[in-house]
Amino acid sequence: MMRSIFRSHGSAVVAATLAAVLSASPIAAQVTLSSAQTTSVEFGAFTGAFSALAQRFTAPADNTLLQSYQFYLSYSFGGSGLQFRSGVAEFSGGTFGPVLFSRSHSGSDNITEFDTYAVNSVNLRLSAGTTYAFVFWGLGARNDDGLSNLLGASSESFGSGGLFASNTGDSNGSPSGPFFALDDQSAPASLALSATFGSATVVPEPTSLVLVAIGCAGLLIIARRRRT
Amino acid sequence: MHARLKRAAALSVFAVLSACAERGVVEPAAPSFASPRLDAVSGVPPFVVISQVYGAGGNVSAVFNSDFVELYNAGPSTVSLDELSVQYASANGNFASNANQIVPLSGSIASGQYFLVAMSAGTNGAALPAADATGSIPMAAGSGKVALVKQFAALGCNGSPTACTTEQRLRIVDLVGYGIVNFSEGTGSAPMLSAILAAFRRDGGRQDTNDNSADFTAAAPAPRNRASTTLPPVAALVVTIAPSAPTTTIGAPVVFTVTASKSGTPVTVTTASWSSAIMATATINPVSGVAQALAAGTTTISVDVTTAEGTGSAATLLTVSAPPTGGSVPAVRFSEIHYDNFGNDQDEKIEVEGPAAMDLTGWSVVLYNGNGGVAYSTMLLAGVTRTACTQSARSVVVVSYPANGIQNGSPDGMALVDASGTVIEFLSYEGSFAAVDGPAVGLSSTDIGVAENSSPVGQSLQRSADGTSWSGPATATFGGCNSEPFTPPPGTGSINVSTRSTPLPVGFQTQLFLSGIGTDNQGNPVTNTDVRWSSSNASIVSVDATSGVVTARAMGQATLTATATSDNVTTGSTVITTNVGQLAAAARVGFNTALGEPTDADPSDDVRIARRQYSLSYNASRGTPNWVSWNLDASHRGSAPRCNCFTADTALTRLGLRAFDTNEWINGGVWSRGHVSPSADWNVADGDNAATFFLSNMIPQNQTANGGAWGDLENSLRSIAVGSTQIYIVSGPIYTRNRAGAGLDGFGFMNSLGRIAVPDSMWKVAIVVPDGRPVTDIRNAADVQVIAANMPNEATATGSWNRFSTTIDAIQQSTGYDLFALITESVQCRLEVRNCLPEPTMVSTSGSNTMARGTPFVVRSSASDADGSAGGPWTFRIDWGDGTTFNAFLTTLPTASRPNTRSKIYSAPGQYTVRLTITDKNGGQGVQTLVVTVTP
Repeated sequence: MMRSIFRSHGSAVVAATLAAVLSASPIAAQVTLSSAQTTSVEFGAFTGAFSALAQRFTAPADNTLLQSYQFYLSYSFGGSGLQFRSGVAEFSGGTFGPVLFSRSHSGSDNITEFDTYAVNSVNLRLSAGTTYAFVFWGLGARNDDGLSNLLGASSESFGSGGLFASNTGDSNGSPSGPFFALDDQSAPASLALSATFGSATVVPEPTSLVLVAIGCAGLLIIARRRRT
Repeated sequence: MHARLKRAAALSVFAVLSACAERGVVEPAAPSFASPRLDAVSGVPPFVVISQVYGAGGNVSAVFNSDFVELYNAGPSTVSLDELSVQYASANGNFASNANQIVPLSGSIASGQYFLVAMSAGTNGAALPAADATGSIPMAAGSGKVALVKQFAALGCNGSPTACTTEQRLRIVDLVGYGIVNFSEGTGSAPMLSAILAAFRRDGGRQDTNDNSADFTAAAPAPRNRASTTLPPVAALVVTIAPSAPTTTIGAPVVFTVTASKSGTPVTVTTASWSSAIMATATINPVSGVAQALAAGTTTISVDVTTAEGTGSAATLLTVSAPPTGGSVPAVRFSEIHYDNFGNDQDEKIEVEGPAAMDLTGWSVVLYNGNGGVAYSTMLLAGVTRTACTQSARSVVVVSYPANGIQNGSPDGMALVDASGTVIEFLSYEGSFAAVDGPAVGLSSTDIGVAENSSPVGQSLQRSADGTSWSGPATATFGGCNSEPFTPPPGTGSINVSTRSTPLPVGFQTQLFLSGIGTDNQGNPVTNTDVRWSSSNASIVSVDATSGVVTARAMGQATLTATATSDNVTTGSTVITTNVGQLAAAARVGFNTALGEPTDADPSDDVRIARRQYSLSYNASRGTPNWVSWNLDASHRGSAPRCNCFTADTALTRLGLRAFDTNEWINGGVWSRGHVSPSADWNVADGDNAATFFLSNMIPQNQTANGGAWGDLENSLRSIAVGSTQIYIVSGPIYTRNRAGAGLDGFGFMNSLGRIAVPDSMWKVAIVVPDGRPVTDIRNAADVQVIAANMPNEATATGSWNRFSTTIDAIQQSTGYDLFALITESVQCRLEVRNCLPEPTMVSTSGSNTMARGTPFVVRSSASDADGSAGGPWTFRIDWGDGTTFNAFLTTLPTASRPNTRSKIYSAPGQYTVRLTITDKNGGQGVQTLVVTVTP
């Protein structure tokens, strides 16, 4: 029964398999949110200002799947002992919403260059044209003056973004805010960030996997029959 | 003296040498004149030299526990050391590259006397003898440079690469380079010194061939001071011919005489041998010295002498001219003289007659002492002769003299000199003689043949109408022509001259005026513009004939006379006594800017003058100071009288700038000569008070304001300058741009002459240090008090100064000058009421600023900001000097315990300047730099 099914539907199985493979192929786009790192902004001195920084951005219209992002970090003082998180949060109506994604990091002790921090496998689907923010916030006691790093930044702003800061860091997984816009003329215009967006996930849908399995089984049966 | 110095000096002494050509100087051991041109310009004492230098004082194995410099006066007379300083430079450094390398001198040094200047002291070695001056210069033991300089300000140059300018070289009185140095006199430096060796000028300090290598030797140090045994200078035998460079006519003999002296003491001439270079022009008796003029031309008359002090020679020129044609009676000539009365001489006068309305500007009457033939008075004539003769086209001028202004013989004489300096007549009374100096030098006088011998009042000696003979004594006819009956003036005029009750310090000026309106002998009114001024002795007190501005030239007394130009007869006079102003010990050079000298972005209009009493920056285009800085404490106050000696600043003249005198400051309007550094702040000694009257210390000030709120501020400051309180004051004018319109700032120029600009406001700031602590101990704003005021230069500035109180920062904004920069920034910003600037610190972690290429250069940075967190966030920028930078936006400043550490790897060898700039949120910046050397 099964065999007849596969035989009678051999061409259809091949087509289904191809369609599934095609539908599972990622269509990704490298989107640079800001220009190269030219300056920096202090981050993580918990009893000082800027316990958290947020860079606002607008999700692309076509490629809404945030696949990865990277940022730049260098030594200010305290070096690699700084523990912090980066992530993405909603931003709406001038306030930040819940953190949608986050990951832990350790600080940089590089006193010569800025280290590149790459955050891969994010796979966070965003709503096209909606405003979000990359958020960076420190972990640990807020009286730890000994830890501070410099986040790579740029003197150029991008898109509808803006650089925001908070004096109240948080150790419970998300910054508590409130955030305020850095409108000081000498402040960087934006953080130096790059992000990769795609139109589909690289993880196939379950129905596609079923079709692929069926198609592959059908092809295998057809091949055995021809050999016998 | 350095060879190039010597050449420069030679130019300036050319005139002196020319004038002295007829003098012969033998025995070359006489010390050279270190900087003769400087003397001509600014009164540098000649012959003072550096005689000993020791730089290892206090070092291990040192003979003495202090460095020292020893001076010696190799000249024949006492020399004032005021305005001189000893300055030091390292082997290759600039002179006085920092303030403690200058030791201002004062006092005097007698002929043959030594003067010991003690420098930095250490622990090893014996104590110096009592020093005559003390400085703190840490001199190098082996190699260095010492200069005796004619200024208190830093010389700021060396031989190479920062070569001294001509102006700077002219300020060097003597220079000694020892060891291996880049600047010395002559072919080389003095020997290398050590803990046991000092540099000695040979012959006890008397040898000065302007070659340090030849003039100095090294020996065990043996400092000498003013109490040490003096060493008589080696004197030259000076041979002098009289008359000097005479002129005679064919057939008229000239009698030459010769004298010799040594150190000013006459030396008997044992033998003299005369000769004439061109016998066809003039012959001379080789023994008697009587020359016979034979033909027109010039010959050189020489004499060789022998004396008990050695031999010598001298020469002079003799000019022979043809006898004048057209008779011997000149058109302009003396016509009447009165010089002697029974008892006190009265109304001494000389009358000159010439063509009617002849312009005698530049002519002069020079009086000669027949005893020696020396000129003793010169009276300038001015304007045209008064038309006095009704029967001929001639007129007369009468020159009046003060009592005993004309000597009584016998004989004495008078020369009439025209505007070109040519002697028209040289007459004498009670005998004849030859003039030995002045315009008639070398001429023999013509005796007028008559004399006054205690004549009654009202008589004189008079010349005949044709000028060929003299007669008298007879009733004086001054003002009338001798060719016609004399009509006495209708009345007796009267002119009264202002008097001065206190001595006028030498070097200072004042202006004479008439006391009210006088009248001449015809009853015409006489005002200040209707008189001509003259001095009985211009070498003591000179006077400008038109303005009446007098200048004290030397110690003594002189009579100043105003003569009415309307009749050239009526006179009034006053006597001025001069003295040498004394300076108090409280006046210390440099102390008046101890909190920092004001600076702005454009130093081109800042002509700096540093005095003991104050320092100032002069603006040559405005004729006023930009600022004046001084300190005020109880030691500056005393009972010296107000000098009232408003004086054109000779410091400006020496710099080639025009110095306006008091006459140019007076306009009779609302603008007074307003002291910036007040006279009453410096009345501890008359010399200190006089210094405040230099007109470079003045601004045109509204008289009401000067006596109003401005005066209230000055009095308030003096009232708190008691006990140990020290007040540092800076003050100056403000010229608001285009305030007067037409591109004129402030209130424009006084009298629209484009000389002296009138400010529209004036400011003063004062830091009051109650306990007098030094600037390095001012660590908190509470340590001092601040007074700052800016008030209009208008009659509205009356009442209390508090009405015009402001902040230092507001004044800095208005003037562009940064004030009190030596106060630490964290205190300074509080005192000035302004944003505090970040104060960065950057150090290399390795402790070295030199590394091999490819090796990381790591710097550790920290900073402070007295504004605290209110100053942030800050931008943090490191410019590595190779085109790359590091930039950060900081919410907290790195500290010494929590520094920011950055690293840089240079790719190419070379020298890089690393600049750390921290900018606060108000734009205030602090900068720190490091110079990094990257080796291949």
